[in-house]
This record gives sequence, structure tokens and C-alpha cells, in this order.
Amino acid sequence: MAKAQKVKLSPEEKAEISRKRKAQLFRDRWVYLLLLPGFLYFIIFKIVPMWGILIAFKDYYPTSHFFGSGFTKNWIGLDNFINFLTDSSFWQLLRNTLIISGMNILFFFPLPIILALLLNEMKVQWYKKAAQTLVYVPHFVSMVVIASITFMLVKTPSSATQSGGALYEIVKKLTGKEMQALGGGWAIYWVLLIQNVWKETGWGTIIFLAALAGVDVEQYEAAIVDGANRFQQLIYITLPAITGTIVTMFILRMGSVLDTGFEQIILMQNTLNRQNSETFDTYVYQYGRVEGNYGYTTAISLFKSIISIICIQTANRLAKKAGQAGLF
Amino acid sequence: MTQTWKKVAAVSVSAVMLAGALASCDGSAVSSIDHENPVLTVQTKAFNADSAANDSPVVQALNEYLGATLQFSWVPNTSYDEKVTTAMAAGEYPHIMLVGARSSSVIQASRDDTFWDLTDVLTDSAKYPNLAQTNPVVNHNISIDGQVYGLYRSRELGRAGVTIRKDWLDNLGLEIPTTIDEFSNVLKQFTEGDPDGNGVKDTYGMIVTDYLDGPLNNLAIWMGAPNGWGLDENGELKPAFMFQEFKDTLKLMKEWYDAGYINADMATYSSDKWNEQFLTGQAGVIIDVADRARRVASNIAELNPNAVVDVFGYVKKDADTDPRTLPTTGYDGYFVFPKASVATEEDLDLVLTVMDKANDAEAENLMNYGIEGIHYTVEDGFAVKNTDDALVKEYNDLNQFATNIVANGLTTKYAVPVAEKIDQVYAENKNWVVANPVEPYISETYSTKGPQLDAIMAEANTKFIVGQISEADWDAQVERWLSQGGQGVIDDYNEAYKDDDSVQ
Repeated sequence: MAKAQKVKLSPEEKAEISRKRKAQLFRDRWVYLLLLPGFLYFIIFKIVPMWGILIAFKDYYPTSHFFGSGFTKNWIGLDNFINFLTDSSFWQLLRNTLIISGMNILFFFPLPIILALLLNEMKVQWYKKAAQTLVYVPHFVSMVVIASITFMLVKTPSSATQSGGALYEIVKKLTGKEMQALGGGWAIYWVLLIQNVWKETGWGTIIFLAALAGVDVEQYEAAIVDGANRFQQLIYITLPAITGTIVTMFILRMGSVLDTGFEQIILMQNTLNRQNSETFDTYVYQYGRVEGNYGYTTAISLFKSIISIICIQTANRLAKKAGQAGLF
Repeated sequence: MTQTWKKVAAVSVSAVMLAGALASCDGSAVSSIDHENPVLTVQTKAFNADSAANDSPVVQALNEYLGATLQFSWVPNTSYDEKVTTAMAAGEYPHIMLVGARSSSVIQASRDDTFWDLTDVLTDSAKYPNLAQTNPVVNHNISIDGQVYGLYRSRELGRAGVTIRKDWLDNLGLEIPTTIDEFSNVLKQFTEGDPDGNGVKDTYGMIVTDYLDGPLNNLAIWMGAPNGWGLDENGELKPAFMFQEFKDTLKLMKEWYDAGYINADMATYSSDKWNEQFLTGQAGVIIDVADRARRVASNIAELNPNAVVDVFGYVKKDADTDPRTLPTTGYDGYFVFPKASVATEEDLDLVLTVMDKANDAEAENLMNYGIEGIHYTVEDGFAVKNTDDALVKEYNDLNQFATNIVANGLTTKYAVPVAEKIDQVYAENKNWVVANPVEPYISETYSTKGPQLDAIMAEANTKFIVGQISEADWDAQVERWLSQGGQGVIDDYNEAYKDDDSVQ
């Protein structure tokens, strides 16, 4: 429609528009100057270093030359990618990564929303504030500390006459089962999920609480006049008001679907659960940071980035199809 | 997504820095060290939070003796290999750098001529009387494509040993075991025979940790399996776990595990706490290095004055077989001299002269004990340390710079009686060590897939012992090891073996 209505402009009109634009630029010159540092920051620190991605296409080690004499050497095309995608461990890494990430999206993602809604319903201000501050605390506890606490809680006994960790003993008393939280199988996934939930749920509420603060109070008043109860207010006013935020957060989360981080997993890894807990990030850590296989691991990270872009785009499209604003 | 980009950016930034650093060191043949007043930077491992400061009196005394000013940069042991990789990526080399593990980037760097080749330099006994005494076997072990790129830090070859509660043995009327059967019986009696005599069955035999390879490999050697790799009946090199003796060892450990002679949580029991249940009187055997007995003995004295700790080197498979022991590689990392920082042969000569002097008795004593009269005194030919923390701090970790190619320095007299026995164990073990034939060889396949391959077998061994997989499953894991690159490693090693003149 916009195209059909486009009017042909005469040269004079074009000149007029261009002159106006220049005048605007000049008028706002200080604003543009203020923008410059931020713009340069992105160019210098985000765009320029992206040249480094090129090592994903090279047989590259820490001591190989990148510029100068070494620049023309050791180009291997897509070999790093092919080696990785055809490596027998690829599917195992993908499976583990998707399970850990999927469980996080399925079980962890809704929790901050629910908690934020619960906090939002609190009417006693000092209690609400105190609760809010308290749920942030776990976020600041180091993963190393969380790992040792977990270990102390779920450790199995060394011999029949010793006792295990507190949680292990409770489960044994209640169900008679010997919980092998650090053994093989799916146990590791639940351990990782629970650690995440404990650490990050409270912190994750911040953005949703901010969105909730913006909901128009008059709508609630009108709803009360119409006889809506608290639960109906939640369903028909609060939730729709923050749906946009939820969708945005979800799209962003989809972008990091292959990111599991390596710190938490490496801390919880042992020979019994390695097969289930080795992910792209731990693999890259081992082969890149420790072994120095930079070219190969850059290829893996680049592969992850490409998947992330695809995921974000897909999620964004789906959101738009469903009538939401989406991210871009 | 921001995270992903950040990672990409981080990699790129280091690449750019590297490029700049490398551009600056191309083709320079100008001396990089002031020969009048040499200042040498050293990067080595730190095991303490407060390593010796560069201005400490001990470092200054050492500088004076060596004729060079040393500037140490201490890197925590736990992240050492990572630091070496980043140092190489940044191209910022100290004059003297310890290389902990021979990772693929270290191998690559050696082949790219990053470090001085010392193969023909170290043999010069006129110039370097101490360094000329480096052990050819150990030099062979650290060599890359037949070339020696560093100066190793010498370690005891026959270091393996079993720490055991002697008083428990006495209570049960048992002797130090000499065969596998007797060893088995000791574990059984430690578990079932109430060795501490308290009337309660609250002890077990042996502590095994998530570092299963230690005890397992020692046992396998005793049982007759090769060390790491061995020749099969066709004269071909195969990994130890493909030998029947290794499998028998696994089965034996499984028996012990099932009977409760080994801690049930061995797969998740951290090796940092290896001594813990020994010290608290819950278990009585540790298979590790012999010197563990010394630490255990001095720590247990405070908790339980009646406990007696003893040590022995090995048990035999049967009474009439020859003993076999697992050697160490004979070294713990080695110092390399990067060409980027040690530019000319004269510079290298200067650095090596310093390293040579560091093997003199005076230098070794400084690094191990500090300054005589202040940090230690000499009694009956032994060094007696002053344990004042403020003094110890002045030479903390300096021994991580010592290569001990020649052991000229003083030894300490330890308060615990077991200490002297440890030296006997070392000497006795040395006669029976089984060498690892592939130690010096480099397999391309292993350098790209090594961690993954090792993980397969570590997992299979642990799971078999704790009963999560059957023997057939374990065999299947060996097949998986072969198909995921293990066969390539076998081929690589056999090729290198056939090309190696020193073994023919």
C-alpha cells in the first residue's frame, strides 16, 4: 500500500528534504557527538576483533602466526567444522547440551515469573522488600561454594558403617532408597537444574518486577469495580501486561540455547557422569583453554553462534506470528 | 547471544595481541639479555598462596650465588597448564618457563622452533658439569621428534609405594604383605577383623579416590600388565588395558569393592581428601607414592599417638615371580628457554650457566631451606628447618625452580621413623621398574583426541569396578575406544616405535 501511494518528488522538493535533513544533523550535532564514543566502542571492541573468527578456518595453535608471514599459511577451509560435526562425540555433546538447556527452559524459565507475580501480590511493603532482598542473595554465592555444599548434602557413605550427606540420609530414611545424585544417568541433570533454580530464580525476578511496576493501576481499580477477584485480575490484567517482557526474555533465552557454561558442570563432573555432562562449553574449555587447540575450538564456538542466530530468528518469527511484538 | 559474541571477541583479541607480539620478534639476532647485569624472568608453579618475593633475602642470596637477578612469576599449580597456553598465545615469554604437561600446543610450539633445542647442548660437560649429568632415559622421555627442548626437573623414578597401618597389622598378627594374595587378605582382615580392636566393625581396607588410575596402574603392574603400553605376542604395541593381566586386575578390584574392602564412594571421593579416612582410623591402606607415608605419619601422630604408619614398595603376583614396580616418568615438567626472550646462543649459554649453577649444593640448599643460620641449621649433616612462618615465607616455592639434576644439597632429618624407610623403598623400587615404551612418542591422533579417549577408559574402568557395567560392556567400551581414534593412536605409536633407533 505504501508503495502505491508514493508520490514522485520534483528535484526542488528533493533538494528541500535534503536541506532539511542537513539542518537537522547540524541542529543535533552535539547529540551525535555524544553518540560517538559508544559507536567507536562497538566498532573497536566488538566489530574489529571479529577478524579473529578467521582462525576457525585455519589449523591454528597459540604459536602460529596470524598476520604477517603466517597469514597465508595453514588455511584449511571448513575442515575444522567437518571434523567437529563428524566427530563421534558431536551427537553426545549436542544431546547433553540440549537436555541441560531444555530442562532449564522448561522448568527454570517460568519460575522467576511465578515468583515475581507472587511478590507483586504482597501488600505488606516491608515484608515484600525483605523477601525481595533475600531471594537475590543466592545469586552472589560463588558456584564453587554451591558445588561443595551440594557435595556435602548428597555425598554417599564410604563404607556401610558410615553415614552419607544430610540429604542422602533423609531420602534413605523416607524412601529406603540410596540416592546416587553424583552417579551416572539423569541424576546430574537434576542436580544442575536444582542448583540453577536455587541460585538464579530470585535474581531473575528483577526484570519481571520492573515490568509489573509499570502496569496501570487504574485497570485494577476498574476491574475491582467490575467485580473481578484477585485471581481474575492476575489472569486478565497482570499477565497480559507483562506478556511482552516474557516473550522478549524467551527469545533472548533461545539465543543461548547451546550455552551451558562450563564452570558449574566441570565442578560437578566425575567419571560416572561425564558421559551425560560433557557439553559444547566444557569440550571447548578442555580443547581450547587447556590444550591450546584454538582453531578447532573457535570453529565450535562459531558453529554455536550460528545456531544461536537461527534459534533467535525462529523464536522471533514465531512470536510475531502469534501476534506478539517480537524482538526486532 | 551476547555471551557468544563475547567469547568470539575474546578469542579474537588474543589473536590480535599475538600477531603483534610475533611481528616484533621476527628475525632478530640481537642479544636480549644484558650480560653485565643479567636479569632473568622465571615462570614456574606455586603451591603456596605466599610464594617467596623477589626481594626476599633468600632470593637475593640466590641471585648473588648464581650471578643473575631472578624475577619469579608464580602461577598456581591448579591452573598452570592454562597459563602456559595463554603465555604462548600472547607471545610474552619469560626467559625460563616451566612446561607442566606436554599439551598439543606445547608440542606444536616445539616443532615451530619456539624453544631452544638442547639436544646437543646439554652434553657439554666442560661448560655445564651438572647439566651434562641429565639422565638419557629421562631426556628420551621428554624428547619431541627425538629432540630435547628443555631441562627437566628430576624426580624419583621408583616413587610408588603403599602406606599402611602397621599397628593394625600387628593387632591382627599379620606381616607386611609380599604377594597379591597376602595383600588381599590384609584388606579383608582390615575390613572384617576389627583391626582397631574396638569391638565394632567400623573399618575398611583401602581408600581409592576419583584418581583411580593411581592405584589401578600400580596393581596392574604388580599383576604383570605392561606400564601404559606393551608389546603383544605379535610384537605390536597395544595399550595396557588390552592385556589380560589388566582385566584380571579390574576383576580383582571389583571383588574387593563388592566385598566392601574399598570405599563405596570411590568414584566421587576427591583425591584431595585421600588421607582423611586414613587419619581418622577408618581405613588402613593407600596405594600411591611412598612419600605419602611421611605426610600421613606426621599428621596422624596428633590425632592418634598409638597409630604406627609403615610403607612398602610393591607386592609380587606370586611368591616365585620377580617384583615389578610402576616408575614415574622421572621428571615433573621441564624448563624451556623461548627464543623470543633468549635471543642468541650467547644468551642461552648465560641462562644455562645459571641453571647449571643452580644444581650446586649451595644453590640447592638456598632453594630448599633458605639461608643457613637463619632459616635452618645443620645437625649431624642434616638440615633442620626453622618452622617460623615468616621465615618459611622467604623461600616458599623456590624449590619449584630447582631441577635437582644432581642432588648435591643437604637432606632433612624427619621426626617420623617411616621417613628413612621411604628412601629404602625408592632404592629398591628402582631395580624393578617397568618402563613405558611410548613415553617419548607423539601421536597426532592422541594430541587431538587424547582427553576424550582417556575419558572413555577412565569411565569404563570405574563403572566396571562399581558394578554399573558388565564385562561385556567393558569390552564394548574398548571397541569404542578403538573406533573413536584409539586405533589411530595404536598405529601412530607403532610407527614411531619402528622408526626409533634406540629400541632396535
